[in-house]
Amino acid sequence: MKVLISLLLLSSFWFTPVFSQKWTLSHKRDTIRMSLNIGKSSDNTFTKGEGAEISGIFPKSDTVKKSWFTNSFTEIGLVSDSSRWGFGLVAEIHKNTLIEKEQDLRQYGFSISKILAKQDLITHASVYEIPISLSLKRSDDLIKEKRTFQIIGGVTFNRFTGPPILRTQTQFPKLSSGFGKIIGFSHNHNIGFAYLGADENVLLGQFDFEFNTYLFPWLSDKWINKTDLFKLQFIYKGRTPIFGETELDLNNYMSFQAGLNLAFDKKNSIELAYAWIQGADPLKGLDNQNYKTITAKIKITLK
Amino acid sequence: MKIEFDIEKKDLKVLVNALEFAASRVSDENSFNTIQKVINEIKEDVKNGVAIFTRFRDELKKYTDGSPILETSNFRTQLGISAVFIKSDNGLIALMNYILKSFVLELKPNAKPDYIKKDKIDDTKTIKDLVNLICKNYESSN
Repeated sequence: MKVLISLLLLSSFWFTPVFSQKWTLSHKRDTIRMSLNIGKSSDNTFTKGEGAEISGIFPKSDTVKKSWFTNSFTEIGLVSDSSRWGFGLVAEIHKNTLIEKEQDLRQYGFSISKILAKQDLITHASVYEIPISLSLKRSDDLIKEKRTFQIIGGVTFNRFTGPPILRTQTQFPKLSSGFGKIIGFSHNHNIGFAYLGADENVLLGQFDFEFNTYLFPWLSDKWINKTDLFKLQFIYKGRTPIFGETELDLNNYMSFQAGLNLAFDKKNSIELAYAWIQGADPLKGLDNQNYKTITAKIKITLK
Repeated sequence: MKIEFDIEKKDLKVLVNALEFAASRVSDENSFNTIQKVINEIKEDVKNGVAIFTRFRDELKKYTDGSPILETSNFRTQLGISAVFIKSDNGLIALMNYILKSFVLELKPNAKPDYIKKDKIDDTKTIKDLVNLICKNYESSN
């Protein structure tokens, strides 16, 4: 454990000065802002970008208990505009009493993020960016009565130039093309690791991938000025142990969702989706199983 | 006194012609100079808007992978620009502030650029909106 933390600290100190000195050319005074994020999970930039999921059944009966499902986190933090550092305090809940193997997890901790950028030498606008995230959390599993300490690190490569198919969170084909008016696609990813300590002792390698399909983006653009009103989403979360052993289910997690994505404004949205979910998520206390659900996904970002 | 108003391009020519006509009819030299100053300022504004659009279009080209960039293009949905680039602190806002800074340095050498704040982009939709934002902050740079 101590060796792992030392290695993490060493690696962060080694990487940060090299990248920031060579690649980051700041031309204006840094500004620090407060931020509030509400989303699915604080693990990395990938899960932070997904909406908080919530759904429930509250019967008027003394014999049938109330059931509900949520995957959500709240983060209050500070972000700097120019140096691109971010620090936040996070609280999370992952609870599902609507399924056979129930899940009830509470997490508290903090997160650190840094965006490395390759900038155009003349305009200083980024050509590509690499957001790096690290979160340290205490995790209480109320079903299994287990406590773990989690260290989760992740990295994403966001390319801004070149063919849209090679860029993250960019619709392809373009809306201006004929085919792009009928259907559009986009993708996102995250590569990293997760260490589970305390009652566990295992280091996992992780790969998250998301592929989105937008139906009739032209119509959606006409109606709400966004192309993702009719959205199909596939999410894959794969993980493998690097060292250590665990009794937790490590099956790959897959979900397929179809829904309506409505926007409050440019940053905040609510999505109503029907989801088919298969697999396990050991970081969220979800055992291997298969279920379907209708859920509301809410994304809120205030800066 | 500062007077600001919005006018369509097609109506601008009518306004300039009317002012030029008025300038040619006044006998008082002070009145002539005042009208001429207004005409020159309008022409300069137009010139800056066009020049800013041209420069902005050239710099934005590599982020659109060759999509034709028109004033009416919706930059969020039609040009294939990455959503991360639009939201990034070092993305679209950095490019706009670079254009603003270079015009201020070139045309107002003693002025300090009034940099555009990122949240201003949230209310915009088209390339024309972005160019107007740069023009507005160019005007307020003193």
